[in-house]
Amino acid sequence: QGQVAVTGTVKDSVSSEPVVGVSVSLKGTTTGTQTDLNGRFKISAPVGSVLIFRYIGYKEQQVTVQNSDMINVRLASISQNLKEVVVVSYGTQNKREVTGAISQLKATEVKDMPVPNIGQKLQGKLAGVQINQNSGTPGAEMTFRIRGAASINAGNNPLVVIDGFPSESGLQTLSPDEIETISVLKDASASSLYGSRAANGVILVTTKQAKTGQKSLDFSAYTGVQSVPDRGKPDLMNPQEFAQYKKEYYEDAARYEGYTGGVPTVYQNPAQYAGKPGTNWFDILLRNAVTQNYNLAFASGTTDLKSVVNLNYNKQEGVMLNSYDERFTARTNNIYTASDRLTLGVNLEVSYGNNQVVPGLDNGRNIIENAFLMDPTLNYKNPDGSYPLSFSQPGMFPNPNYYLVLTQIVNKTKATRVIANGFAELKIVDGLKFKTTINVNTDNTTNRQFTPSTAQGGLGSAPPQPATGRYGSSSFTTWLSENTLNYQKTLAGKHNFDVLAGYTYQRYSSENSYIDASQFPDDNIQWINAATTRIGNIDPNNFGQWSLLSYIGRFNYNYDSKYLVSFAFRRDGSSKFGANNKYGNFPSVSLGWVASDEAFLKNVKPINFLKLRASYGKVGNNNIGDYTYLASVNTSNYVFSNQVTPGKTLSGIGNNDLTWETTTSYDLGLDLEMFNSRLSFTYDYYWKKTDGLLYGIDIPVQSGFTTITSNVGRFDFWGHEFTIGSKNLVGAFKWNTNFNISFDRNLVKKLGTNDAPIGGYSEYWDDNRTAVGHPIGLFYGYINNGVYMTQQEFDTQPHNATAMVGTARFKDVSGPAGVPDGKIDSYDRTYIGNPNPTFVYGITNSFSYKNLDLSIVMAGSVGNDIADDSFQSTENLDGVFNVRKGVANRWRSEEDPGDGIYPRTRSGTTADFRNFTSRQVFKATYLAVKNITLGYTLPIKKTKYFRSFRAYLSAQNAFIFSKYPGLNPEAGLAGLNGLNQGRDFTGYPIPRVLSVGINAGF
Amino acid sequence: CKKDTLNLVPQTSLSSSSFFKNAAEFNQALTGAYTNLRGVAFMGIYMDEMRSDNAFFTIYSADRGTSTSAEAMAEFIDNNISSQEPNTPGNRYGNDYSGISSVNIVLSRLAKSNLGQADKDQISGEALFLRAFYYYDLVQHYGGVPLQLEEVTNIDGAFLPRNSVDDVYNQIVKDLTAAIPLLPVVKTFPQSGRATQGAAKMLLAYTYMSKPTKEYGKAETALLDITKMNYTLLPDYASVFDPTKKNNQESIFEVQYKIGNDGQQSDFIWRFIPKTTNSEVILGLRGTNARGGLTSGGWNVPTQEMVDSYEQGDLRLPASIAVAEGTVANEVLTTTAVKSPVGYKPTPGLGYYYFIKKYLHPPYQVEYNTDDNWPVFRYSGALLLLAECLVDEGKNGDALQYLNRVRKRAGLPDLAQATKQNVSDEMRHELAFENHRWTDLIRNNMAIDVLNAKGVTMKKLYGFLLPSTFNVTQNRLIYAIPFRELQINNKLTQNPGY
Repeated sequence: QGQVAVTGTVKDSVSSEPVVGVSVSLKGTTTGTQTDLNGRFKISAPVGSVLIFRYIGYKEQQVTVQNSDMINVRLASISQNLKEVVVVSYGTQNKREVTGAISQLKATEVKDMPVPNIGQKLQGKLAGVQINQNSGTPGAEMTFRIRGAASINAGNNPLVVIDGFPSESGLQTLSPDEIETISVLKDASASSLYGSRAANGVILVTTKQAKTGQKSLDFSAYTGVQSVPDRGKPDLMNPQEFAQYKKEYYEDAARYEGYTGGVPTVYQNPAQYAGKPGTNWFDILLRNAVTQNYNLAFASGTTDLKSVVNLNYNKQEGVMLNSYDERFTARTNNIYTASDRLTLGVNLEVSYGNNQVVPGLDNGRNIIENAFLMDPTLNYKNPDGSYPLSFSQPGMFPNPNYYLVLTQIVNKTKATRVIANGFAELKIVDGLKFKTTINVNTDNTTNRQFTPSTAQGGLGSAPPQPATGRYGSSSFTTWLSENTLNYQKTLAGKHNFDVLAGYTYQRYSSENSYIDASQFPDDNIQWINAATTRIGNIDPNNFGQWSLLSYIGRFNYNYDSKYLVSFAFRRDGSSKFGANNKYGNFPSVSLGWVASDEAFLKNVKPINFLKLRASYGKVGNNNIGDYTYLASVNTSNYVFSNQVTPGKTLSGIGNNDLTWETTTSYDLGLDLEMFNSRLSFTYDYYWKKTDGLLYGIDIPVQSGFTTITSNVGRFDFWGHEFTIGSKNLVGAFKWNTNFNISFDRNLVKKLGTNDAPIGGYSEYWDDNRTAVGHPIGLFYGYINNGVYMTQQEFDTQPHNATAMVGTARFKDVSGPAGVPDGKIDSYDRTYIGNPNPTFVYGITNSFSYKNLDLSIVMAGSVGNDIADDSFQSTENLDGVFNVRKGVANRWRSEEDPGDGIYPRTRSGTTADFRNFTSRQVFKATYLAVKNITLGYTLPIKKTKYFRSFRAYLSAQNAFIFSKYPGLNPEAGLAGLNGLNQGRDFTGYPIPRVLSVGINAGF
Repeated sequence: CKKDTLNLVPQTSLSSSSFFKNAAEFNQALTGAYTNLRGVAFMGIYMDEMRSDNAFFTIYSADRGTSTSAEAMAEFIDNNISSQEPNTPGNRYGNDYSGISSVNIVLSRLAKSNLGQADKDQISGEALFLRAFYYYDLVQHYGGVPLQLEEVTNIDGAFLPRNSVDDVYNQIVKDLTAAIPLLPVVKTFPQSGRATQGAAKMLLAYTYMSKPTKEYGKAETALLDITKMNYTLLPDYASVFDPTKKNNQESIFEVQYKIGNDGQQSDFIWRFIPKTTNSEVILGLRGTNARGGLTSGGWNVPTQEMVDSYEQGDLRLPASIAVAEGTVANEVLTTTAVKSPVGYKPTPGLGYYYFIKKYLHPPYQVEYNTDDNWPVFRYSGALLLLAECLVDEGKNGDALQYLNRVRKRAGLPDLAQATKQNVSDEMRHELAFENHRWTDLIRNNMAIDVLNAKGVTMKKLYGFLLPSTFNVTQNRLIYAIPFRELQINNKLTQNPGY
């Protein structure tokens, strides 16, 4: 009975790709091994014995050992979907064995969308992940919110981990073309290995690696035209209407206020403007802009060396004049198999970004808004082709020429970024591996600003004014060292263990400086050397360091791939926290049961697969600033004896007890595949609470300070997520549908010492209030109740000190005693809207017939409110702005009372109507057709040099269906930040992009 | 090693744990407590002077934004929510407590320090004066407020309830009584600008004369002590405010400023000039429109009644007020000339605005950057307060000499007798636009009548004033506790009428 040293390779029966990690065991013994990275195995076995090949998602195969020493096996998969490898924290896992709530998307599924940012491609694709485009600014980030996550100070942005490295550069520096997969870790069991940074969920990005035997060169390109649709532009008065309104304004001032100045000449005869459309500032400030992208990828894989080079150039011109974002990215990923025990790898990305955008275009009173608020008869260009520098109309603010402001302001940002990962993996014994990685991310950014005298100014301040400039630079470096041991073992063929232990240390530091320049002799030289005054400083808010020292551990066990259990643990120590609470522990546990493997379901034909999951875990949020626990000493100089004398003052009350906020989460999930996997279904229910919320609790100013950062407060979140994938037609004409819908809810349970609400105190631009017993960030203001139409109405109804007949009427909601008191004052502000959606959803339909393919991505949100803050200006009754057409029907006298919506223009009474009221709150429900792509693949034969060719047409942001009157129902000055969401300031408009592209493979 | 990797401290600022080691650092923290004096001076422009009969504002119809809350204070229609806006009561409240907090931090850490007695005396003397000053400002404008007397080191310490008006005045007296022996009597001029015994006694006298149960005898003693210090009246009234003569021999206490790019400058005149398209005619500097007068100015505008109230020949009128003349379009002045208000006759076809001249000392190099200090206590004010005190005690004869000393410097003839009214009128003109008039009227029980009368006049002049304006009642003599504070601290109660 001779022993034979058997070697061989295990490959997938369909793709012929090697299968890694296949368990190869000798039947009836405990002897066994696994296939390596190339699918190869080596085992010593007696002739005539039987080898069992097992791998999750594949049918088990048995082979009898003959005299031959070579056995090559082709495993047939059970189900394509379940074979999928999912990227999880610190590794990968077979989808079948995943017990946490993870959504994964392959980049190939979204490859033809002509957008520079992976976030835009993910919109509508992932259940439980809300992604909004708040602004059309070139280079702007998308905002993410996973499972409604919210914090008060610490934000709700998920942690972004690129190739295992929680880097600081974020998603928008990556070219989408270099991405292989995106995994979103939603529950605590999936994310707890990221410990104190995982409370808002984790996004794992994996970049492309070459495969063994691959040798390919791919080129892709697209170019598109962006333009802003007309929907949502404000409906303001034309010149004749506006002149009429201004004329009446002065007539009423004469009638009611003793005004004797008469109607200014330009408004005395409104008929002279009849038929004139007025200046369309949208046409003047916006353009059709080109976007383009070129990508060249080379991949080569041998058993020893796998290498990818990806070169990308992207340029997006902005639809607003004088804006663009340009990015060049070079990446190379390499894995070198030094021996059968040692593997080395390095990923290196260098990117260069170049961006020009006039600052403040998304803020309140931005350039577009200020421009369209001017008298509509004003033109940006004189008949002789020259440009007026400023505008001033009777009773209105002086203004600059916003065309010049937009086109002349320089604000160029140039950034060079490096992300590098290097690793070495050593197989110590079979199944036991040690891996060490070192990761570095650096960013060097310079910013140059120059505002010439002709563009200097804004609302209420007209040029020319002295030019100003700035030159600043900032940089950061973060590095991470991770060292892990991983042990995988199968006992008795069915007991599968996978154990991970590790130690990591990450450090971050940033610094900056800038020089402000003023007193330029003229506008000719834009650099600061031309200025006679130059003042240098640093920005302390972007100057700091942190360190994070952690231990991680995970224990996965499954029995026969049917009963699954996973424990994970991270212990984080952070420099950001007070002396008394430097370390935190973040444990999790999850269970899975593949019910479809049980006898009682095996014979239920329609069900291919059914898994039930449950998890519990704790994660944290540490985004509170680097030194918040310390009270720092600020400069507060004064003068004695006419000399500047150094003074100091404490910046706040320190708090040595400061620590993470902790999110405890539970998840119940179900994965189901039916009808030969033509229908797949995933459901998750989650409930989580975030307590010890880190925030600057408002404290009475009598303490000398307005806030103390502390761990008080609790939010609860819960929700349901459904994902359905369906292969509707599988013949020559294929039709797939993917649908996901998420219902997210939250409730504020505790805030501060006295549960003092957050926000909603000031009269202007303080629209959201977060208060105990309510969802986060509700709109808070007065309930607009029309107009006091008659003196009798005014006399008999509640009103405030500045009200009169004909002014805005608010509802008497409450008073100091908690009940309506017959007076209108700050006690009558109340909850007037909810920016949290009832549900968000996405549908992707893809069709293919022979060489044609078509995909349509739609996404939407239902039930949330949005505040249009432009109403404060476009319904301003002081005669200082152009206004909505409806203002023509305002109250002028009891005989001419208007439509009961718009009050009178009497001075001193108009502030009420521009207060934040229910009038400015709208339903934001929308359905957006995010993308339509039609592609055609050339039916060519593969040759030695030419592999494939495909061309496509694509429309991004194709249509939006919404009753919201503003431009963008996804707008939000503060993004998806729960405390301040849903506020539209008529920011940078979001363009529709029509593009054409090609993909060619060589 | 591991411990150090997790203990990172800021490199760009000091942290409190390593501060307060020596006298120099305590003195720096004390200096920081002085800076809140500037907030008092700034807010007083709107909350004291403009609310009194000395001044009003020029309406600028184009700007109905945040400036309306400043206007509301002059119109007596301010409310608790407008206290969230700039230039408003809320800021004053927070500013005073910020100063008090700085003092409390110094005092509580000083007690635990091992500084020498001389350092401790100097630091605690000035600190106690400042705390008394800020509490006096609070009680004058908000009534009985919470007495925070310790450094707040945790959340609970921030939630004290209101104390009574008497409690606050008693604490002021206590702090000043402790401070006075520790403070120096000023001997050389110009002074440094630090707190002195003279300033503390002046504040003590105001306190005794303002509290609900007056103690005129104690006030008289304090004021007579001041007359024995080294102060004197300068010969020329206008020169008292000249930045080249800061902290002069007439000065008892001033808020300190310094022109330049150290961030220590004042900017009062930019708020006082009319809204004008060509500020260079008045200021000698064009500046940018945003700040050069068009939107910054038009505040604290002397009323016609104020101009008319000066006696014939009063040298203080042309020193305190000027007239800017020119063409007015949409309430904005294109200035052609700056003239004296003495015997001013409007030029036909031109418009004009009065403005405060006391703080106009051109030429300026940079907009919003002036060298003027803000006078808080002056020796002439001490003499008039002494006259007021003596009249209140029924010693009208004794009061006369002090009254006439001030009149003489103003170029006015002696009066034959001192009365409550003529002492008050003298104080109005002597201390005009120095943020005293509003609290002087309240202290003398004149505020309600005087300001209702102002309302009648203003409503006749300005059609834009709403019927609800100028309803001046007892409740309006203090401001609302800011809305935010009531929302956060449920132990606080609002002042009646708000």
